[in-house]
Amino acid sequence: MSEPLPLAPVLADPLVVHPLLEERRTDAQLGEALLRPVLTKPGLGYWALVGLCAALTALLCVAITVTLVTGVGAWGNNIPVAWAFGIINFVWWIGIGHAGTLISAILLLFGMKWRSSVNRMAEAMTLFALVCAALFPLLHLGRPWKFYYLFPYPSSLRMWPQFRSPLTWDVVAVTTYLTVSVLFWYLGMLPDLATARDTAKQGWRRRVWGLLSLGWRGSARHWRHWRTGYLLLAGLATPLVVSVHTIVSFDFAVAQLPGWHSTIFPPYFVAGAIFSGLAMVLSLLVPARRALKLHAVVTQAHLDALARLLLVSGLFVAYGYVQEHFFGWYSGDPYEMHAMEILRTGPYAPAFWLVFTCNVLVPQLFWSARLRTNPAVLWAAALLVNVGMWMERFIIIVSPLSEDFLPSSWRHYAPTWVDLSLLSGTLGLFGLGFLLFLRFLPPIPISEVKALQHELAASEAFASDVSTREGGGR
Amino acid sequence: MPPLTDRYPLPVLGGPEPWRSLEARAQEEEGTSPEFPPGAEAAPRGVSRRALLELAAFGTAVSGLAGCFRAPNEKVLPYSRPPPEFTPGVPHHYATGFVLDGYVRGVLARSQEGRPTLVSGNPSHPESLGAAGAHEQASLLGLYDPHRARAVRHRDVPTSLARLFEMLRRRAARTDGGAGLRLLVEPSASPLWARTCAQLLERFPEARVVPFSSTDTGQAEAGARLALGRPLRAIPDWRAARAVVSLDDDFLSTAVGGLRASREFIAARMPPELNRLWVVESRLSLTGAFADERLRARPSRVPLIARGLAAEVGRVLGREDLATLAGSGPDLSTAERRWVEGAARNLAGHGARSWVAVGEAQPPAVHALAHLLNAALGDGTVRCVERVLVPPPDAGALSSLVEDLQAGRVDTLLITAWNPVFRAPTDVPLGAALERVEDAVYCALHEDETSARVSWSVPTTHPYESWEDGRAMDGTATVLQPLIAPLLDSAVSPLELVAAFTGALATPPYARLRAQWRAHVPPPESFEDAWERWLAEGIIPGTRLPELRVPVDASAVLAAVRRLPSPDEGLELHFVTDTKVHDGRFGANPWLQELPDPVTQLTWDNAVWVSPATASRLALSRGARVRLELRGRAVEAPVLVVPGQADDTLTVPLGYGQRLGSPVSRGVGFDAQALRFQDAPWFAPGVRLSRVEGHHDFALTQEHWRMEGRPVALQTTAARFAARDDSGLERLQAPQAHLYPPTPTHAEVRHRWGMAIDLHRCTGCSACVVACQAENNIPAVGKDQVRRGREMHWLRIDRYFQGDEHEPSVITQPLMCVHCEYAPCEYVCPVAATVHSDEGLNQMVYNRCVGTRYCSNNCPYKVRRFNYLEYNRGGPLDRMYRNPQVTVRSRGVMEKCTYCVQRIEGARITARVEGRDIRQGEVRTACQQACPTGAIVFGDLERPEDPVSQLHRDPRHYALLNHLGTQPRTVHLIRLKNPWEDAG
Repeated sequence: MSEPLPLAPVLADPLVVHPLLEERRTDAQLGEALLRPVLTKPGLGYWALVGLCAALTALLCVAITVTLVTGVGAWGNNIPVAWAFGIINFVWWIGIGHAGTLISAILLLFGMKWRSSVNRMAEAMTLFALVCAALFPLLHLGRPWKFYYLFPYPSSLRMWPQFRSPLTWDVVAVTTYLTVSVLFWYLGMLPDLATARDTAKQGWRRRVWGLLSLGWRGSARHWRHWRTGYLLLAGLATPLVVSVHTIVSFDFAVAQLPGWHSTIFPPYFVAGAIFSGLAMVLSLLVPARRALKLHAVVTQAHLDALARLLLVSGLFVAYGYVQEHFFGWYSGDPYEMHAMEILRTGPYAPAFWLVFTCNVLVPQLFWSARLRTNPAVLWAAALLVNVGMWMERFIIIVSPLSEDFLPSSWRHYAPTWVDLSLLSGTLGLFGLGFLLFLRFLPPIPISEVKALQHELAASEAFASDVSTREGGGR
Repeated sequence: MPPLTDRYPLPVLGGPEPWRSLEARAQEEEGTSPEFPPGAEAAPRGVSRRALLELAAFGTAVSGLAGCFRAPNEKVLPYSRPPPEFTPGVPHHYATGFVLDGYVRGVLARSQEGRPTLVSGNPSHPESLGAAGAHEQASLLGLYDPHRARAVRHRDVPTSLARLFEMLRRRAARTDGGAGLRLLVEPSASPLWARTCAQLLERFPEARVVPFSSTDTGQAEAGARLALGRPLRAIPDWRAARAVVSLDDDFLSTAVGGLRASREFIAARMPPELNRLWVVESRLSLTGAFADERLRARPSRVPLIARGLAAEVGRVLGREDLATLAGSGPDLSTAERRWVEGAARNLAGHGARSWVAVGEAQPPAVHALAHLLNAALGDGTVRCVERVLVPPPDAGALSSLVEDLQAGRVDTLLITAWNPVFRAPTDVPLGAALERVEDAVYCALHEDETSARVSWSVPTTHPYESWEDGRAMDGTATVLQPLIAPLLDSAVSPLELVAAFTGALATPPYARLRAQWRAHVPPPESFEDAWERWLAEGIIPGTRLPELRVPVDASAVLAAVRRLPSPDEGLELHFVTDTKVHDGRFGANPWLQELPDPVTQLTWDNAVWVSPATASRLALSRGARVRLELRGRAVEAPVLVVPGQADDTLTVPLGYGQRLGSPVSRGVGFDAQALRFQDAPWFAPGVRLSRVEGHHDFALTQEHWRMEGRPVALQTTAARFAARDDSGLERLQAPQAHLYPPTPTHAEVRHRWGMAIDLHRCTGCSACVVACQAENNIPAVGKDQVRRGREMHWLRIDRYFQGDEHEPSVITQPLMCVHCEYAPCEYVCPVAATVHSDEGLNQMVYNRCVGTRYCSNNCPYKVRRFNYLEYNRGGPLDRMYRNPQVTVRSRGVMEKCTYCVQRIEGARITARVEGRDIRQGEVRTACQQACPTGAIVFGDLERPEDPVSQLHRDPRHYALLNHLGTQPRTVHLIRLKNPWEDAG
């Protein structure tokens, strides 16, 4: 490894206190450094983690088998709580998926340079989260083998889905989102796959990466088309960030159940999704940065930016909570008031106050600049927010169902081992996917970091040029 | 579809002459039979399963076979060669009866392709009047019970029927005059039984027929003997009664006499002229829940209150002898005094149009006192009929039998009573004594506690598989005809066992039955015609018992009343017959086990009922386990805190905790019988209660018992309603404005189906729940699934407590899919599996349903049920009882009340074939048909004169959760109460 480039102030902006790149290297060095996770043998810790995740994935397989063989009655669902872990997990995973698109697409459109180092990981995370999410609507069906009834396919029965149902909108929204996310992730990775192909030592890796890189040669035309396509996809993906969770929230808001039937749900769900997604990015990025020694490219500036976003989206979510309860009270509707009251004082009140702590109180830590760049604090907070957001979906879904209009049908909910296995199993699947991604695909977008380095160098050169000229003038 | 049209014209009267066997037919008539005419387009009318039985080949060739002493088997031919009158898919109805506590209740059984698939009430029968209780409807499941005993066993070794009859023949050839012969039977009103017993005693004068019943302990009979000199049964005229006092009598339950009582009582209660019901009881019963003025008192205090009531009535009426009862004995509390004074004035005010009823649990003197009061309020006599039970109930008979058994005086014992070892009082060691009998034969549907103790256990035929007869409480006789050939080869009817000792073994029960009734036919009519008519109608005319007017021996009654002991102190044990499993005999029936108890909503269990005050004093809560100890016997049981329970009273329902028997009943609940002593059959003082470790998880179908101030199940007082004091009701009646247009319909709509449920008529008896279950192939899901909240009942009866938890006001509310005009379930289904029909039904398309369960989430009434697991597994027997006109739902499919759409479509087809419209009242839903009080009315809202349309306009009607704008097609009518304050 060569000598690091001398440190220099990266940007003239006085608001930016942390450099976006810790050090400067040549393009070749940078490329080699960023490909190192893919090209070197992993350590024991990595395999231990893979083992753990694989075991959980096996548990997931068992739980799925049990669910499919005995029926969805293997879960703890009942009447009236007909939706529980399945839908909670679905909403939670979909929400987590949002951060990837947010970081990749929206920040790209807004020209946020810091996104370059983290967007690949965030996108990969999105994909695995979507895979986990997509499992649940399927498993949750009473007759999963008839899932295709939900799609508008040309059927000899001349039957179409019932388009007034938010679940039909859900199918459209989620499949669109999944498709666009995959395309966006893949397109962004093309130049890096080519770099990996060119650097790879083993023949089979070269061939696989060569196939995946679709003949990328790095010509100016390639770059031009790629940039246009990437921007266009970013433009397409941006509304999806808002639309997917809006539509997921319609599953609840469109129903007339007190505690679900609320106009605040779409923005509240979108904010919650971004919030939980950012938390998941942080939960993965902080350990990955340490393990893969990415401090040079994932700097305190990134942590700081993510922590700020976490704080802002957390405030949105907190506002949502306040509004939900205010509306409940202000409606004067006894059913609505009851739904809100049991959140605070009912059988699920501990969950509610846990949610309040994790999602409202914990993010307030990040008003402190010192805590924003402390990886340990960030990681702990991010994990708490993940837990809090899962619990939030739990109380949103289960609590209003448990006690609705007629007290005679009230009944509470408890999960079974299958429910818990499915949740932990998808966590394992998600972790396994992410770990394998770290090993087999470049986790940091090499080309984008290189470009960023050039841009930074250029702007620094410009700045120093200006300052020398001004100094000379003086 | 409606049973009556099917029963008339009579199956055989209009059709070919009946014949008994091919041989007999060949002899009787040659070529005169009206055969199926060639070229006829339809089968001739007048089919019956007589056709089956008429085809019964009555082989006589078996007479030469050694060892066979029974009447030859009658064979029913399979449908591989169907009788010509038979149209596949068109059900037939047969009138028969169902025996409970010795009395018959007329039922109609619907038979589809030879399989009985539904039991409903017989409109011609005075006891049923077309209604059917939970027990007789669920009895269908008992017929097809896969756990029925199959093998004849001798000392636990499977053996053959031939061996059994060989033994019986040996025993019947005795010369000791029957000194070693005993029969242990349930008292029965069956004339054939009475005659068979008489024949047996004639032949073996030393033999004894021992009655055993755990529900009829003879207290009412003893009371009647005391007051009227003879064991008569008083007949209340519920239709005329304006004031009714019930002393611990749950006469509105669907037990014996209950269907008719509740129908007539409610008919007399309809606004604007309400009768008034005063109830004193220890636990909350359906009757107590219905009372206008309810007083809770420990069971041993009821005699005291009865006495106070008598004294007060005497004072008001100026009857000195009665009034003097007040002087002696302990004092009544303030609440009791107020209740007694009100009741007495109310009774006296209505004179002969009032009635005092007493429950079986009360001592004879209280029964006698009630007779005296009824006589005093009327013309000095009591309207009575004879009791027809043979042998008459005798609580002491069992213990003298056990003495005989222990002394080795008995060598042959025939047991036809259901599981006497399980039901015997705990201080009567019947089980051990049975083992001393060389040939004890027990004839039962299951191998249970008694089977384990006897030397011979014999599977019996189900009542729906054999010929018998029976009488209702008013004496009306019914021929019980078999509905299907015995499902088990080795099953014997109890009558046949006894016949071995009357020398009638060679005559089949059918022949004996006909011989029995031949004399009853008035001369000009031929017996065959009469017989066919009886079978078709389900009653034998002219068998009603004459009403007697009997004066009361006041001095004897008063002397007995004065001797009544004082009420007990401390905790008191109170036994009750269970609403569902009765004395345990229906424990093997999953429908009844899963039927929620109408008061506690408990399934698959019994519990110690404790009042909230007692529970807090003893630091008990729902599910706490306690140990009850009485005179050295102890049981462990879970506690259920029930509002309205008398303080310091531990109510324990009987009939649970079987250790042997059907796997369905085994280990369900605890055996309260273990604390039931001979001298304290219904309540016992001095019980000790201690907490034990552990918590019991009840399978309750309704966990939340309050209404939370929501307008759900409404009741008010008649006076307030008449004064229009409940302005809230209008808000629940006016349909909400809607942004959406009504559901578009494709054609001119000829019917708008709708329903009305009158809470004022609903006693909560749960007959409708079982009716729905039987009609619509609804599975029982088991205790674990009920605990998880997955019971499948389409129709549930919600029960709410209001007001004070000690003296709650109770209301029951049947609720099934209300078929909303703007159904919230429909728009959220992503696959259009639940849709609206032109006629307003909210339909469920099972084939289309993928099971997202969104519809259930969005249903504000939570009436949708989901097949979380494959609940419809089962063997060939389980398939037999299902209604072929209703889809059996698989796992993963949502289901709910369809308004019995199969019946609507059936009526539509019939009407179309006959080229007419569906007639008013032609479609009756299963729940409507079963309801004894007519609380559920279904019909066509397009017809303004249809009863349902009138009820939809009734000032008492309201739409449940009207503010949601769902515009339900089922409306409820509020219940009115008639408390005493109003009149006073």
